[in-house]
Amino acid sequence: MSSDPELERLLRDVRETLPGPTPEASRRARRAALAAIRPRRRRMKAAVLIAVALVVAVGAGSVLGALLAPRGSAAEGPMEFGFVPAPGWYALQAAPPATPGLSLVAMAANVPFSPDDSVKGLAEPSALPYSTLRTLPADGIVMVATLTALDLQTSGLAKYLSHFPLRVEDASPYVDFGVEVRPEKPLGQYQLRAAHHGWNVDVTVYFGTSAPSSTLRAQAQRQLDGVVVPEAPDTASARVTPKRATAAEASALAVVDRTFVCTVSYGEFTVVVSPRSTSEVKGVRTTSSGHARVTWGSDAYPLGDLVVVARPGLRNYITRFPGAVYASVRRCAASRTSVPLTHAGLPGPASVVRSDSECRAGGKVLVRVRAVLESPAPWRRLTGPVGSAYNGVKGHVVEAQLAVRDARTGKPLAFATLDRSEATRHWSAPWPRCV
Amino acid sequence: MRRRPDTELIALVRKGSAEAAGVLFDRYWTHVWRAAYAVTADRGLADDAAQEAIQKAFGALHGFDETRPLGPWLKRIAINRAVDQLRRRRQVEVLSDEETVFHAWSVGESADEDIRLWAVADAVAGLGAGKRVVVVLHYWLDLPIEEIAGVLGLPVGTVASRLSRARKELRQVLEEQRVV
Repeated sequence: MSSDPELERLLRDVRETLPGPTPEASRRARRAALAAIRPRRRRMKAAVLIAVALVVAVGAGSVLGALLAPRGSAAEGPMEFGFVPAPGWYALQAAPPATPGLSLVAMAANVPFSPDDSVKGLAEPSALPYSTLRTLPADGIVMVATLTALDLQTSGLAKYLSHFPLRVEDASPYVDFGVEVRPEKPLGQYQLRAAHHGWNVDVTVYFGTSAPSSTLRAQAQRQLDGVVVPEAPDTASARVTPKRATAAEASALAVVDRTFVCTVSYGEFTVVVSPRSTSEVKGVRTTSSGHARVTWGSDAYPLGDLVVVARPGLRNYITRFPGAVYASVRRCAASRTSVPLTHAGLPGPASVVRSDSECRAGGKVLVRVRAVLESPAPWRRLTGPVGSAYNGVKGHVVEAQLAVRDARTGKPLAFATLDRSEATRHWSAPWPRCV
Repeated sequence: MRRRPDTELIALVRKGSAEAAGVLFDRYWTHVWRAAYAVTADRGLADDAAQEAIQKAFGALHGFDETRPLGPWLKRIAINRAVDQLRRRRQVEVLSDEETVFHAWSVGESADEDIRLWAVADAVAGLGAGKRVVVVLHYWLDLPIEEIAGVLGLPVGTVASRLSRARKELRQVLEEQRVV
């Protein structure tokens, strides 16, 4: 039929890159599909079960809620939300968010949480225990629950939500838009969304294996039975204002941690690190967002950026997407190579003012960027002044780290940090690798 | 339950097992959705088409001949629904390519392979809708030209011609990008 076998092979291979459905679409379709075959009498049975479960949950919640105040952390948030740890399990709660409307977070795991995922006994508010998940053994399970007051009457979401008790078997596959926590050894990631006591409860279940056994699922179910939700949003409404949850939010991350391998022209690239600053030239005042950029072209070239993390600020020719983390679609690809976030191997002291380092590498560089965002947002194609040449996530970057290594030799070339205090630090390799 | 073959699950579904239906859904939903998305190149249309398809298919499971494989049957329904969606909205020829993104973030064995595949996906996304649908149906959804002609209601010669022109256009674009 065709005399172009190479093209045909590529065309067939590329179908594997198709994205998947959103959790929201999946949930909606699941309900529709099951409703198409489910006998009506089962609905009555389910209603009875739900009613019984609610009675049990309300009773259990008031008794078990008190158990959820370990190490005094519960005093800082609604005590009635979280996991009652099953035997051999560990539970964490996050502090209430500073920004009204964000979700409350609670976590449980059958392995100890990594120190990176807790701060003074509280869970990291990002709702992603990244380090614990990265090292999760095959028989490991991690659950993350978020609680958001939801106006079910106006949101239109009520018909898509499950009801308590939650069942692992009802969970939908969660990985979406390629957001895989551990791509080299995929986790089993599932999500449950439920309405309970006027709350929207999202639970993400991570298994250490992509094909969790029935034993593992049963173990997860036992812990899932231990999630406790406040009776009504009233007690926490001062902290959590009703908001409309979206599918994008449900599948989003507040911590972005990605590694890319990027192609640089002639082996040359520049790392630019700049603190947030305001300057005035000929009466024109410009605010530059604090940012760390790896670019293979000049500042004036709109497609020169490889990987950028930028704080909010005015959009200008340097910062095309202020308040964002993004990577070039054309020049960068996701990489599974481990790149440590450290300045080890790079001479100090770090530069704390705006600084450029022009570096050389063997054609490709590895760039890892880790950013903590103030609120969750999805990783997606960004559209802006340069079309849709970048994939990324927009949001208020609270802090970030960026490490660059030579893809061929693995040697460190640069490391930069954007701190919470809005200060920046920049290390780079000595001559002849960088100048 | 999850390891049971389709035939057993279908039998259980006929007896009213929601659990078996759920397993079947989980097994095929992503495939169904991707088929719809490949054709429509639009998430909203794909959501609608895929949901319609799987709803229709599950509703018809009682009459399904379980000696036939379930996957291709579902795929074919999804394709038909997706094409219907396009026709319904008169978008077969005017579908905007502005936001079409055919690739997820990372799938290949290596970063180089990812870059190549993304370039190919972008090139397919950049084809005119008429040619794109033909390419997608043939190379991604494995439909022979005769079946494509049936699905789209076009003469076989027209489909073959579109496919040939699409390949030529793709090669030109990918050569410019040094992908092939």
